[in-house]
Amino acid sequence: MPHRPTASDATPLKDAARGLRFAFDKGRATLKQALPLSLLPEALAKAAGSALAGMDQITNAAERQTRALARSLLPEDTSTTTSLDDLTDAAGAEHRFAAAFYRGMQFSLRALGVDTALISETTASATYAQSLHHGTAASDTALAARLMPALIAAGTLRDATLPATLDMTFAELTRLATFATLLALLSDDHDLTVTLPACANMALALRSEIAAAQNDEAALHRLFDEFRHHV
Amino acid sequence: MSDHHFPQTTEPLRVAIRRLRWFRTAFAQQLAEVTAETGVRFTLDDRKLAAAFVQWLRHVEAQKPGDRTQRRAYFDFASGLMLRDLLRDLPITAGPLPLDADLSRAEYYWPEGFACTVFCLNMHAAVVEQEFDASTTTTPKFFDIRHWWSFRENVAEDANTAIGFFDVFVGLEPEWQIPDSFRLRLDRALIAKKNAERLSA
Repeated sequence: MPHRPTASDATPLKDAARGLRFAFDKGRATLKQALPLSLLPEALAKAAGSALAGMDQITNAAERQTRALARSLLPEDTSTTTSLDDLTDAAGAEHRFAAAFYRGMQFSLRALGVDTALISETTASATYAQSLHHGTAASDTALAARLMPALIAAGTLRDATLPATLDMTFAELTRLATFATLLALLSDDHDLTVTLPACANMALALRSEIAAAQNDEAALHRLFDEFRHHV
Repeated sequence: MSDHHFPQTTEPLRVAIRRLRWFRTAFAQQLAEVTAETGVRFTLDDRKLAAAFVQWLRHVEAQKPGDRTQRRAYFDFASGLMLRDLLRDLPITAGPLPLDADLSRAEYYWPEGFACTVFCLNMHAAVVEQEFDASTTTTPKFFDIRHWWSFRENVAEDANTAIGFFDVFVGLEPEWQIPDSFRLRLDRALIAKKNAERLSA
């Protein structure tokens, strides 16, 4: 009997494709900074430009192939309408959670001013599965409070290109984006595209409390409970 | 001052206003109406608005009375508190005034303060109408520029005074000493009522 692909087969591939794109985008930005094409002699600038374009083509092709392989194993879930309750209720909860968390983090980071980031869906999935080993959480807000420090510690946000204008460190960005994403998954409106900008601004308004809470599940639980119905 | 038009919602306004997304849409809509009437454009800072909203929400939730007979007084208080928090964080910046702007009118003398005040007055009127089937009025002091000179100067020194000015504009007796305490406001109202009864006895 042929091997039946599962979500866990495909998620690392999706992450690999995303990692490739991120590494290329970051490398390209660094190269562009280091190689000001406009200042180079014409012949050299042309050669450097061609090299960058060639790299772009290779990366695009590799990314396309990896994504296609991932899609052939598991169709990509691009839905933006979801809630933590719905996710945890179904079979394969960890993969559904990880896919929603990935999309949520993309929106959160963008709302916080970061367009290029590397988020690991595989790590989010594993972290969720691991959190279930500690028993069922008393409520969805308790689960979010349990997940938040675990997702941060596991490094679900691997890397990000921070704009010079951003007024926070990578660690704070991770905390705020993770809080905003979980808050959006708890809110009454389940459309992440509309809730996340508001959740990100709310996280910014609460930044000192979120920083002070660190790994304190009780404090995070109180914050999620206090604001989930006010997004 | 514009009529109170707010975004559609299936929830009572007192609930909708405690959701950041609705609050933001309602505020932006009121700014657009002020712009249409005055010609002054505003830039809205969403982060500052969220900060003001969070502060306001926490204060109103913390002081919510258990006694239902105090609801009307609480809605009056919450509206003044909203003005205080908006003026403290000031999430809007006014653009250039029209060439023919009359600086003896509040909307041109202090466009940001005027826009925030109009929003809170209209929100207060809409909630009172929905919850109590009652109408509210704006006193002549709202249209008196001398009150706006004092309003702006006092708020610059102490944002809490915005609550007192809101009360003046809607015809309530202002509390200037500790304006951000609902309990004190109720106690004072109770004493005033008893004194009035004693005098009339």
